[in-house]
Amino acid sequence: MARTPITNRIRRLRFDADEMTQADLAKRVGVTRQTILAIEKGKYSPSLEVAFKIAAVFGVPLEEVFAYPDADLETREKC
Amino acid sequence: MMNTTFYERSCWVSLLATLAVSWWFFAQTIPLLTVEELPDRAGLKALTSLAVIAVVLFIVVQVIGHIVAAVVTHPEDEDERDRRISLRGEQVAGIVLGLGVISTIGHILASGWFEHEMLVLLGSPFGILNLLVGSLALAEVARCLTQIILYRRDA
Repeated sequence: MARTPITNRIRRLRFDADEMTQADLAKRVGVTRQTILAIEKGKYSPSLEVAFKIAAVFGVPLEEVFAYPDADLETREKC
Repeated sequence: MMNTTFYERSCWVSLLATLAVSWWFFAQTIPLLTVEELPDRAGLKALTSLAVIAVVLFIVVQVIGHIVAAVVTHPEDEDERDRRISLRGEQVAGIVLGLGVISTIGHILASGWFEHEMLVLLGSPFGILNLLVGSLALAEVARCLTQIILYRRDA
C-alpha cells in the first residue's frame, strides 16, 4: 500500500494509556499487530470502522487520533 | 520474519511450493519440446499423468507448509488489511492468467497459419497444456509476490 497522507497520534495515545502495547490495541480493535504497526507508520489507511474503534479504545473523538492535513488546509482556504 | 502474520507466511509457503512443483513439472516436460516429432498418444497420456502428479504434489507441499507456518506463527483471524492485500494479489494474478490464456489462444491461431516448428509444437495439445500450466504457475507466483511485496512495504 502507498504511504497515506493521513497522520495519526496512536503512538502518543498508547503511551498516555499506560504504555499500551500494539498487541493490546490490536486485540481490542480486532486486527493484527502488524496492521496497527502499519497504521502507526502511516503506511496503511484503516477503514472508518477500525478508525472509530481505535478512537473508542482511547476514549477520544476520531479527529484526535487521525488528521488529514491537506483537508485542514482546504477548509482554511475556503473560510 | 518477526513482523509477519500467518497470512504473509502462507504467501511464502505458496510461492515456494509453486516454484518447486513448477520446476519439477517443467524439468520433465520442456526437454520433450525439443524432439523432432510431436509426442504421440502415449506421450500425451504420460504428460497428463505428470500434470495430475504435479497438482497432487502442489497440494501436499502446500498443506505441509501451512502446518509448519501455523506451528511457527499462531494463526489469527484475517483482518481488513489482509483482505485488501489478498484482493490486490488476486487482481494481479487474474491479469497474468488472462494474458497467459490470450497468448495460448494466439499460439493456437498462429500454429494454424504458420509452419514454424516451434509454433506447431506449442499449438499441439502437448504445447497447449504446457502453456496453460505455465500461465497458472506464473499467475500464482505473481499473486504471492504481489502480496509479499505489499506486506513487506507496510512492515
